[in-house]
Amino acid sequence: MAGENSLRKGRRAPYGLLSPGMLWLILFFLVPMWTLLRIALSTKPNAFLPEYEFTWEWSNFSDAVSRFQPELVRSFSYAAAATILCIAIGYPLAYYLAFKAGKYRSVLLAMVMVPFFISFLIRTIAWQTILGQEGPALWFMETFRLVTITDAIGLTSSGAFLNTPQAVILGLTYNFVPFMILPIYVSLEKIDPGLISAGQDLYSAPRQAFRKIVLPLSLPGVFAGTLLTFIPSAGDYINAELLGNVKTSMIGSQISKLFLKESNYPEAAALSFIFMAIITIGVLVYAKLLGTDELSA
Amino acid sequence: MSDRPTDPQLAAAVEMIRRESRRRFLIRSGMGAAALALGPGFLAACGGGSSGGGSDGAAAGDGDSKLTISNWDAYIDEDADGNVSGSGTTIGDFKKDTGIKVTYNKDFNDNDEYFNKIYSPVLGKGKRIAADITVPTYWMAARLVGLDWLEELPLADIPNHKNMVESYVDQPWDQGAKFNMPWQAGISGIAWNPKLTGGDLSSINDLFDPKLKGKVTFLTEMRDSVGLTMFGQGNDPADASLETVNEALDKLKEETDNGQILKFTGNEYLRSLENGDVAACVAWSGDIAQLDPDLGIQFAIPDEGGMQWYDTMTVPKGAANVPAAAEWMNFVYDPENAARITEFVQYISPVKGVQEALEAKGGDAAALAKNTLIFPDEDTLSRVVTFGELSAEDEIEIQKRFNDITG
Repeated sequence: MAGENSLRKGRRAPYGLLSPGMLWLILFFLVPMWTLLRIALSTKPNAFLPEYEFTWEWSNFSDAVSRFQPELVRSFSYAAAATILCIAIGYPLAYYLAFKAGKYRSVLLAMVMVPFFISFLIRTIAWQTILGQEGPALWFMETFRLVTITDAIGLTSSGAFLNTPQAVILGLTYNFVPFMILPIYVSLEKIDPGLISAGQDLYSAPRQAFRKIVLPLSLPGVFAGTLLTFIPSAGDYINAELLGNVKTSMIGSQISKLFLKESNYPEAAALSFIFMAIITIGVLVYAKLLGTDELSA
Repeated sequence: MSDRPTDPQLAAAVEMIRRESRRRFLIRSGMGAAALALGPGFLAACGGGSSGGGSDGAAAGDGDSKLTISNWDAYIDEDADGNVSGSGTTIGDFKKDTGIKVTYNKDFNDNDEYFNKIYSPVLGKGKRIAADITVPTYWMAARLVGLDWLEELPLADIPNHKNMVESYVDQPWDQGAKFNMPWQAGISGIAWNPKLTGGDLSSINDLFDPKLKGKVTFLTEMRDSVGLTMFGQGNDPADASLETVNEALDKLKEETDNGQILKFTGNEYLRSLENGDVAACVAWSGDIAQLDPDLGIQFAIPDEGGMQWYDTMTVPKGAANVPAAAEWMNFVYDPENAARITEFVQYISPVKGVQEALEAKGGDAAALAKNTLIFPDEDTLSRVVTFGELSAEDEIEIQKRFNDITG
């Protein structure tokens, strides 16, 4: 009898354990999502009054897409460029931290995280100084007569660094690269060095060992890092606003303007939904390609 | 070109953050919306950046009466520690005189933001908002009057109402200033860095000189950017119609598409101007008045005319303590008290007798009394106008087009 009892308890226990999380999810994710969806399908007869009419107004979605297509494309391209740069910078750095840094590891790790003690906004504004006309970046390039080269390879636009798309991508990369380094570091750090030695014992060249052992085992880190950099950079617009120009605005600022300047909540909600849907689909496809079963690692 | 950035420049960046949050700063207001759209991850990433907006000092008073004010940041005098309700400050003295306990919030960051987050969702449903006094810009006050979301002021309890500078008293949307009492005013004109422009600017159309291509910024404040452009086209922004506004928007679109206008900004134009990233721009007089004169930045009201704006004290419908609000308005319309605020914030005061009060103080205050950006002469005042009233539909349509242009 007693045994049966505890078995039954055992069956219910998982739900009990899940309930705080489920409650959280329902209250702070599903309910707001539902509200957002309702608003996205409503009309607001008077822009200044807080009343909506739920009318299945699908045109909010088509209007948002046709009006903000350039910003949508721009947001995702900038985010993709920044993410690729983050991998290019973050992977070698994480590799070094995990395998080569030795006793300096904790110091170097701390250095990756220390910038977070300063506000996101201040760090981005600091880039205005660095990239500006009187900043060190241009000073360096002018001293070494590199401006024609950087112009040619598209790093600068007619001798300017600040207020260009390149500066926006650079800002995004800078601001989100730690989110790439840390997950990759964690997945690399867990790799048993014995595996690499074993590979070498079996006559693998260092490059082969990296390709066949280290890289596959670190992919979950790359996957997590990509999500952590791509999603926030696609939605970020502080960088676009502070480091870009009138033609670099991203989707976040458009949602904000729809909501705050035009009092058009339905279209703002619709645009948010479109943005989230694209990201969700993108993530699912990406997970399919990279294999999600390793994500649990 | 120049030296590597030194510590003072970094300090300037920090100062910039503080200053930027003062008025009309897009980023702060935008951050709230971005957070709404993107969830907690973004909030965490922004961290301490937006900490300045909250309540600042619900200081003690003896009486039971309470007054809550929502105002822009850095818009009232502070004591040496940066405390708005310290002894010797306007709020401190008000409390001493009246026993009314003041909660002074610096949470009015942006007219549209405040409208869409507080006025519309709360007042629009007939509920009471927390503040007894809010300080929207004149056009927002006009909108609120139109929506009947403001309390009429008990003028009998505000004898100092008579100290209001005449030009504010009879606005078409509020004859006799029964619903609003201006707090501070300013002028939008053009500013330039002579080292980069190679000469002085006099017309708003000088900003469209191809020589300055990609070195010009305008403001995200629609009425300032569009109003000045209208002047340049020979139209009068005080008498704005959909047609003349559209004409100005066409011009702004053309100049944005061809790369003449680099971007539309909030207060951050100041830093770009100081750093030489921008040669000329649309600017607010109060900002330029506070700049280091050694930088050589020039400000002028264009020959065609300039835009005047003012932020004005209003009492939202159903406010908890209208008598205390009236007492506050009376207090700050005393020239001595108004002078103390002017001395600190350096905007144009709507209160008569401030210039004389500053002269009487002597020293730095007397020098301020001579500053023509703070006390413009008659000729200057005759050349500035406020933007004409727009119907709700026109306003939304114009704002929509303007947003598409500003990116």
